[in-house]
Amino acid sequence: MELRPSVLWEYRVFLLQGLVTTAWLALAAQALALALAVPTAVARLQGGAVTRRIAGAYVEFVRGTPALTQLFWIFYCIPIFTGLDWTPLWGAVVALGLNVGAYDAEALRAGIQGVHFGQVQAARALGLSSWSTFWAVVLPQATRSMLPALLNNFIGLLLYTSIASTIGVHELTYAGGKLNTATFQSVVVFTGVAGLYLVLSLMASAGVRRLERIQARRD
Amino acid sequence: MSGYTIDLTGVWSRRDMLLTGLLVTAELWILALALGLIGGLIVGLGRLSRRRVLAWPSSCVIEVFRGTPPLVQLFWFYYCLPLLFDVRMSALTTAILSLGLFSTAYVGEIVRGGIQAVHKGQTQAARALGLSKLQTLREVVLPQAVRRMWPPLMSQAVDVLKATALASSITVPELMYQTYRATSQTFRFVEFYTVSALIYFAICLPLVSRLRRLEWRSGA
Repeated sequence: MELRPSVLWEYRVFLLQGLVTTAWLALAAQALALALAVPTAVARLQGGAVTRRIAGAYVEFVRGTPALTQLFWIFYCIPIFTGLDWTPLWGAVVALGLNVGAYDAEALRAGIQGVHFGQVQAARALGLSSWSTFWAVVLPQATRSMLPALLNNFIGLLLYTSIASTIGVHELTYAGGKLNTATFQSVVVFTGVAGLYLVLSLMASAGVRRLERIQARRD
Repeated sequence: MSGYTIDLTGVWSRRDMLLTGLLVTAELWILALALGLIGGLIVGLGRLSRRRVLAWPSSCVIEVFRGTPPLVQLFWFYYCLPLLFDVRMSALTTAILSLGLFSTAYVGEIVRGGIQAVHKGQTQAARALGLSKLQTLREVVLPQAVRRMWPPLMSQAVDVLKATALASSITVPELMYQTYRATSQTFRFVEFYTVSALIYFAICLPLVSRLRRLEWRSGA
């Protein structure tokens, strides 16, 4: 078998298109995840018995089932219930967004609960309203532990967008699979694709480490 | 379509399919975890070693397998191993190896974190008392580190279980694969995917709730 690394260069546009879809998918799913995570975390911390339980069930169910199962469920079953006719890309955005939303909600909740209760008591004793206590005292402290956790979740999401290839989203892993069948250069193609993901995630985790260093220096 | 009626007869008549899938999932999960525990202990200790020949390869394994998607890792092992090393492996063996290395990387980081969290004075005291390096590690450091490692290891076990579903894409006949096959025979997407999700959930739930108790007790 002959290794032809040049196929990566020959098909660079094809791979790059896949990479762009991967990035788009990750960002769109992240936006949805945050939109879900904030109300979920609030419901778990402040909600009444019912909302608390609904939010808890969402988080537990997402964390207790494989992302691939969730993706297939959402992509195949939602159209059956709603009559909605959607593309694999939107199915993947919704499924991955719902998935990461649960993990982000936990990160938000852990961050807020990690702030010492004495801080809240002190702020309230100084006459701050419960809203100002949250905005001015709790949230700034909670952000310190939330931000790295959210960014780590995003790195996980970036890698897990690869499962969207199984429902036919033309992202990087899908492009790799197509290129593999077209050229039979499995070693070159899959090493190249893995390398691209590795570069992306190493860059992102370098960013997280830098953020943590900046935070540590502020203390 | 609002008038969708749930019909579980198809699921019931194909329960054997799901059950055999579940057994393969269990086999894949347990063997990948076992491989991950052994490998993770090696690379975790290796990364902490002062010797470059040990630290470097360990760091590489950890960074590469944590920094690439498990699905791409599975494809890599499935398509490239036979070409590179001229070996013939079943899809299941390939998946065990691939997911085993995937969990090796994560367990490695857990081991490293657990050991680094043990106070340095413990090692110094043990060495001062005349214990050898190996004895210090085995008798003093590891027992203390293991207690800290339990919660992350359990959450890693849950993650590996969820990752076994990915093996369906390299034709390992596990639960997800059998579910997919059943839906293509019956078109009962809702029933099969829901039941399959509930099966995964039922396995995860005791682990997750036990994990929560552990975290609660340790005050995390």
